[in-house]
Amino acid sequence: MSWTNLSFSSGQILTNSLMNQLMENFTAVTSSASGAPRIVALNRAWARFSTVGSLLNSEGVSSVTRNNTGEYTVAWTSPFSGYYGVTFGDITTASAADPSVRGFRAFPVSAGSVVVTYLAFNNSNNLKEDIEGTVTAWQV
Amino acid sequence: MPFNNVSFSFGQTLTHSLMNQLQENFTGFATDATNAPQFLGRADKMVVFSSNGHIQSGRGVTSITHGATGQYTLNMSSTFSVGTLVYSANTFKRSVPTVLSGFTKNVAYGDASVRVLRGANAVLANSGTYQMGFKAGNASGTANEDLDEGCVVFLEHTTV
Repeated sequence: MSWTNLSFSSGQILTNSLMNQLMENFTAVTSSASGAPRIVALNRAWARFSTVGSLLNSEGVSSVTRNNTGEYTVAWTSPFSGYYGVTFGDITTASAADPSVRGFRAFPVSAGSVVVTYLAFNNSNNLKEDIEGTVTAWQV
Repeated sequence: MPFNNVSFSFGQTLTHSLMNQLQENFTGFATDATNAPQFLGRADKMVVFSSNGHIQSGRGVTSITHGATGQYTLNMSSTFSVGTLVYSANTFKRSVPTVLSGFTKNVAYGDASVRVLRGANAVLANSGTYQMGFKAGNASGTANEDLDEGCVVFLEHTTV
């Protein structure tokens, strides 16, 4: 649905076409159509992916690639312009008794993608681990 | 662009002025102008910042104070409005509904440390600050570090 930059003038007839364009602008705004006012401070893209990098669900993400154990490249459908940030989450299969601390870290983002790595450590060991993860991108 | 609280009454003439106000409301709504309807899921406050606390882009965060290594105090443009007050350590503290955080760190794949950017203290009632800490840990020990880039997102339901 495209955005129509409507402007009304005095005496102009309100046609059904104009009113329908006005109505369609709701969809254009919420779907970030070209030219539409940009909704501020929203999640712009997100992906949930499997341990092997398969996309399980996503918006605004074109692919996830497993580069190495625990390391994934998340590619955005549309490159970002300006600063953006990422947050992440994970689902581990480790038992509650597992003593390790785990978490994602992200390599400095580029306009088109971000590389994330999942790691674990405890008192005796450090490991990279494959993980079912979630990465989200936010922009003001 | 303000949000125009347009109201139509029976028999009213639809002037071009009213129609333009209606069209302008798309921008007012998208940019969270005063009096615009709340957009569910929009970050009430968020910031992307660098290692020294410099704000690269932000909304509702006026500045970041970089204290000791890995310590960042986010100074908000307004106090947190909603949260469950709890009494702890002789003071009331406010729990902010949801804070999401992430970071980047320019380290090689072989770097073994797990890192986390986490809230460093409960938010004081009516406070306009939020403290965060960045820490790294591996089998050899833990240490505070400065991050390369932090991202903090506050999702706050602003209507009680």
